[in-house]
Amino acid sequence: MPVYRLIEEFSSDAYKVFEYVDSIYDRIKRVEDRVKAFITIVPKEEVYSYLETLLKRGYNSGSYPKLFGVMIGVKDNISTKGIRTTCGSKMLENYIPPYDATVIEKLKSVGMVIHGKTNMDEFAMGSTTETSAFYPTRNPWNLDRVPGGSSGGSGAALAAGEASIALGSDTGGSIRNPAAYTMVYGLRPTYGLVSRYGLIAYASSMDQIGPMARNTTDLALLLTIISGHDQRDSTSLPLHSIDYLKALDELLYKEPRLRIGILKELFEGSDDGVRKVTYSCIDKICSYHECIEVSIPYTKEAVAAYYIIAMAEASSNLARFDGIRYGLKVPVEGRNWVDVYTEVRTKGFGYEVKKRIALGTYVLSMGYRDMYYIRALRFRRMLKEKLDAMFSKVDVMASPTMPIPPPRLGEFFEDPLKIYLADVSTVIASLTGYPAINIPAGWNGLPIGLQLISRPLSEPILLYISAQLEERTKLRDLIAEV
Amino acid sequence: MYILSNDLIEYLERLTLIKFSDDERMKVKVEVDKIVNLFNELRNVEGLDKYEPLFHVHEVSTPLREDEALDRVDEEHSMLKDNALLVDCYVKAPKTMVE
Repeated sequence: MPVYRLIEEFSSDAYKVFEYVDSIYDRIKRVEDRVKAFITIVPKEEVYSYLETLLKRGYNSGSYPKLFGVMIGVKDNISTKGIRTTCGSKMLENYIPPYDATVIEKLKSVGMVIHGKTNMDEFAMGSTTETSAFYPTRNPWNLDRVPGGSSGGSGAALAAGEASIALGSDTGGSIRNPAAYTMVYGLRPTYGLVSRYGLIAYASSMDQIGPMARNTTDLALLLTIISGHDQRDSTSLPLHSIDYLKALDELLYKEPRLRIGILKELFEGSDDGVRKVTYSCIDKICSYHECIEVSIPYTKEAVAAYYIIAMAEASSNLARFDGIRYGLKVPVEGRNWVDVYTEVRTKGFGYEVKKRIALGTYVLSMGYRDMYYIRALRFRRMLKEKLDAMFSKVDVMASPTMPIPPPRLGEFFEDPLKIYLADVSTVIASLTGYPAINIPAGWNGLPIGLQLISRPLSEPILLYISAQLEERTKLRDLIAEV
Repeated sequence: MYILSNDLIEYLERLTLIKFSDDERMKVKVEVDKIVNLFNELRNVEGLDKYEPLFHVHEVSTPLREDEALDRVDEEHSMLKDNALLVDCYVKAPKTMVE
């Protein structure tokens, strides 16, 4: 059942929440062995006990919080007080955060229930959820395929019906990619709209937490809850929270006609099946809006710039993992710090993480910094200026979210460059900080997604087009049989 | 001839405090060659020097708040107790100097 319906249901009878909890846990019991969407599942008894506390509080005060009882899957790089948060890594296998991320405080303040931490690529470094140190997650629509990544557990939990709604994080496409591959809606908000406090950092200048859902309304609902200024995140934008549901309703009422830019290179560079499905999807609204072809000539270069910056920032961010205050433990008695730290980091990090830290150190080292890192940052400014110029002519830009359908498990390991180049559509919004959304576009035997990018803080526009397309495609509230 | 020579890998291992196994070394050499070739695509973009590096999409200075304590002092080390090795309220760490 969609979240907006659950709210109505529980507002008429709050005790119905227990049937709902049972149904989610039954579903998890039936499919989780095959899907592996979660790293940690909160025991049902704890969820019951938490809900009983909320019920008692509601009974005494005469009202229940707005999203009372709605169960949410949270990506395992978002700190949850008292619930293990591993970041998909052996390094943090036993780490229990002593505090909640700001977004988690916000979820709890409206009565939502975190029932599990979803699987992810280790430290969000990957696009398939296969670099998780625990196990790969499988795509509920086809168990031989990956669910995308790095928020693949969140996408899979939604597609398998193991969660009603989910949180992901997106650095180079980690919300949009799994959303496309699991047939759900996923939004990367404008950089700074959602607090990163409590998000375990990968590449701080691009990391963003965002909502994932099975329909546009739920997506808008969750964005409303998690967005807003936070003093504890110095990059948080000093803006008042807005009600995205209301903003969406207003746009759907007014139905403004927009100019949609079709990103030529990204359509042309995609697999035939993907191109056909995404063209056909966008075509459904081109008779109402105006669609024009636009060009962004630097695609491979954008991928290069993204990986240089991400790896450079990762090499600095992940220097904090030394096993002393938290993280993997090794014997320290009588040993020097270099030996201890080296052992912790060598045992705690998986191969992909080690490689990215080493490459990040390489591009920041003497002789290479200007050649790679600074050059990538110059490219980032140029790309932003070009995008700004394009947004003076169009309201949104459309492309396939992923240029290829979900690969088979293990397929990308044969050539890691292929996996990086598959981020070609998603890194553009990441580098520039612009909001972008994945909208389920259709099937080519496998799920295919359409991406829209828009101007900073124009999330209502993205939600508006998403809702229009959802109405036409009817691709909403889909749950795979598994 | 790989971009990552054995000497360069050892240098990066010292900087990152991470060791690669023999198998990982072979793999990383091959992969880094391909990845750095991708990075070199940026060399073909003309006129980049006229753009200032964009370190952060919001080019604003770090906001500072008044220097006043907001949280209670964590005398019990509750922030660390589930995760660090504590001895008499101190975190046990390796020696910084050895003989």
